[in-house]
Amino acid sequence: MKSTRALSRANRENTVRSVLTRLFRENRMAAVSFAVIILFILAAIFAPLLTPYSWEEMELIHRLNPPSAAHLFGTDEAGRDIFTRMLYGSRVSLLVGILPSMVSLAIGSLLGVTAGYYGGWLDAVIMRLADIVLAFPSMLLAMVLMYMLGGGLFNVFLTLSLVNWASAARIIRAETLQLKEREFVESARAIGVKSPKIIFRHILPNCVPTIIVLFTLNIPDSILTESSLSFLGLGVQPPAASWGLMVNAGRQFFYTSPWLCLFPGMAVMIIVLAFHFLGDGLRDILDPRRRKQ
Amino acid sequence: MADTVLEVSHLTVSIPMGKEVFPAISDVSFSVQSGKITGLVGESGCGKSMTARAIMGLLKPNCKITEGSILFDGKEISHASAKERCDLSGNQMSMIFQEPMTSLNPLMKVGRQVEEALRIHTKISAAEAEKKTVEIFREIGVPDPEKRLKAYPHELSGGLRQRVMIAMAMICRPKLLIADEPTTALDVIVEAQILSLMKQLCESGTGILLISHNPGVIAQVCDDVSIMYAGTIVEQADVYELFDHPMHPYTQGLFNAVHSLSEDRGELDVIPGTVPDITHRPSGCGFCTRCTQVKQQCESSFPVMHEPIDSHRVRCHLFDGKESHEHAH
Amino acid sequence: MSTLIETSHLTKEYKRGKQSGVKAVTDVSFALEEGETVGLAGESGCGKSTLARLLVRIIKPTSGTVTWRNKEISSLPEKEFMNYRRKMQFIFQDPYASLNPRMTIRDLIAEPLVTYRLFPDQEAVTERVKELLQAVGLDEDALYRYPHQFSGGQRQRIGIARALGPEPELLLCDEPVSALDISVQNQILNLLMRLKEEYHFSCLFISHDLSVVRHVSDRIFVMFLGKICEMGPREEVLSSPLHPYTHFLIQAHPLPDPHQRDVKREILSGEIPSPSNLPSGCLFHTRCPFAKDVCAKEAPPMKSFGTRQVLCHFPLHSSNTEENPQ
Repeated sequence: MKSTRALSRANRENTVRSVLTRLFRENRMAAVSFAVIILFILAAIFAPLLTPYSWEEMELIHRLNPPSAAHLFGTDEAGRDIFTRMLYGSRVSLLVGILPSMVSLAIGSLLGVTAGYYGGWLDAVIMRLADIVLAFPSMLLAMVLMYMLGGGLFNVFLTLSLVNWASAARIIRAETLQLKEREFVESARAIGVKSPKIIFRHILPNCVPTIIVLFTLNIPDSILTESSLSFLGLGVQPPAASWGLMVNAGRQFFYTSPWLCLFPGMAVMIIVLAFHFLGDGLRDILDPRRRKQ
Repeated sequence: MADTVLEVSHLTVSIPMGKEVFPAISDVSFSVQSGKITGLVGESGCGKSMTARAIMGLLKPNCKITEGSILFDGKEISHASAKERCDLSGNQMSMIFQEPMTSLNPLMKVGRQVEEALRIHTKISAAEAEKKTVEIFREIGVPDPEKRLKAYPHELSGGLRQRVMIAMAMICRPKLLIADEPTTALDVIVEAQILSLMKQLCESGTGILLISHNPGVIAQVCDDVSIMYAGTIVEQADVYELFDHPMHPYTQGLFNAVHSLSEDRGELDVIPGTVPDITHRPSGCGFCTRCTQVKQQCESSFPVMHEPIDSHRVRCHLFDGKESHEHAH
Repeated sequence: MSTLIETSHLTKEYKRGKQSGVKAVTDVSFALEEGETVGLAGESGCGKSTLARLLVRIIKPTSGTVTWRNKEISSLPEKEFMNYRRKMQFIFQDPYASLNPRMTIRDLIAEPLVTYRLFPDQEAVTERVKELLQAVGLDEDALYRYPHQFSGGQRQRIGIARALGPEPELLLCDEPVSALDISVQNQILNLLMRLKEEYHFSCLFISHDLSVVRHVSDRIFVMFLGKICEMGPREEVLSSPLHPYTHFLIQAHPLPDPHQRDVKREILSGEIPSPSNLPSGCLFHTRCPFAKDVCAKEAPPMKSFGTRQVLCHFPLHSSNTEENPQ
């Protein structure tokens, strides 16, 4: 009896470790995706050890070389090794993809749930603010913000976080409005559970599937917005590398030397898919109803 | 002798759950006569709605009719093509559902929705269709039919919406009407109104299959009754016979549970336990996990239908070898 | 016997913009005695669920007062009201929707205990949860499972354990069995009756099903369009209803006996008036076959006949009961 109780107790807790074990046991795709993401992160950290070239070293004789044994992914228009630049670029792109998505989602979810739960003037203020942000094309808004803040990686983070929260807030608010009417929320209110506790125990956990989907959708957006900002001279500045910047720069050589944008483009795609599958798996694992018995 | 509109025999429908396939309903046989109401009683998950869907050809694509036949007006329809179905559904057989709000298009005037049901199957003018709609509205007791025609579903009460659903189902004068819990979402007074309307409809010759979880509703209007439990029919008889002399332990338990509410008793009669999940149905009798008179063979062998008294059938091992005549069903 | 909870002229009006709004509950005054079970019957939309929610302040009343043991509690600030919340627990209709799917059974049942800080530590809370599980007939191994792993009847048991935890003096049951199968309904009703013996709480039991109300209640209140139209001891209300509406409600109840169906039942025709456009005078006069001119003009007063009360100008069966002097 005692041992079964201990077991069931361990089972109920969503510790990082138990979530990971379950992930690997139950969802192969999510586990592979998790491994891919870890691999990308390791590659970004240990970039100098993985390549003999430097990211800014130009070899003009080797301009636009196709992939070969010496240059795994070929070279770009300035003769720089694309593989090397991608390794270094992943530092910027991964950070830009993940961090602002997290921050903007955290802001958006909190504001959305607050607006939806409390309603009234708070709702009106938050949602009008969101409307204002959404009314501008996000690119334009990002540009304005970057002009005001000046260049630099940190400001790119800040800008992306401030641009993307509004749509998340809208969606989470709508979800909250629905959840608020559910009987289990009413039941908590009948007991007298305080509002912040209702929000964090009853409403937000039931928004998790939506939040995860929003997160995975946000990552490619951020990576691409960053590249556009860089292209306009507002983000990471050349000769520094980011995947977005590389895709952009490679575009003009697309017909003659497709590898210039092909490889960084594929990297974006792979990381987005990996996050997508991981998100799917996490959603299933965190939902007791979908958990396998 | 009334004509048999619908004859379901030995119907088995299987449904995949995970990697395995389970029979959602097995060996279900009953018939509906024209001008009569046949009742199908059972708790949630017993397969009564699944039976209705199988008859209407509305099974989900992953559910398969693996055995048995459905004869509608003498024609086999259990594997009818989509085109054959189109000619039947709405025209010769139709169905009304539990929730009248979600079964109506909220953006369309109800008159138009009823007319549409008519004009799909017959070539008549719009004016003619409207005239017929007013007629049927009047017939089934919609007050102010000309005005209601132009109302949207949300402007009507639950009872009126269910009447509109019935008008839609009845406008082509079908031979068979399947009513799946038509009054469950309604209040008792409206329920009584709708039930008396159903009786009136069947007097005009339509055969009705009335599905309900409430024995009270069944007792009020049905002629013949089948009791379903765990995917199969456990007992079947004429309504008076069944309510006076229930044979199956489940039927007895069910009726006692309802009766004890209207008599003064301290403890209410209960059937212990809960309905087994479709994936955990016992291999023998579906009721053996809750039955108070369970015997050894109940757990291992699926009981056959016995007929201890003429036209009173029961699927229970307690009646093994007690047939009223030699040819067992 | 003393009065446990009393309402006086309790009203809830939903305003739509600046127009006069929809009245969900109108001018409801009643008293519930200690230890008593009152069955609140009525059709959907009559305001019976709203009334129960007004008592525990899930919904705030527009006007009127609620009194708990002679102390007015409807105007108390939330912090003080918490002491009274503990004494009034709620059981919801839908056992599928009323339990948060992401919480374990232990946490669900513990939530009220933790909210009212009834136990010093988590261990003590868990012990209490185990006791409660046992009291409602569930195994201890339910503790760390989730709601979806239980059947409807078992979930309703969990809902009952949750309400029982803080040892309430008043249990508000909002259609606690109407979402359940008939064979399971009686299990839950028996359990509630047994627990009532054991824990001595009073009970406001809402149901649209007269046979259920009849079984559990000492007194019955009947609601129609936001007003209580009849109050009285169970047997008297059901055998000789004073209000015509109660009469038709009883007549429409489907009896599980086919021999009864040939007895001519009086079925009320017509539709319930829309709550946003209420009729003048008596709310029931548009459908009432006994209505006279005065019914359309004047709203009837609440009349008392011994232990019974009725909101009607011309109560049925009133010849054999004397009206109390006002």
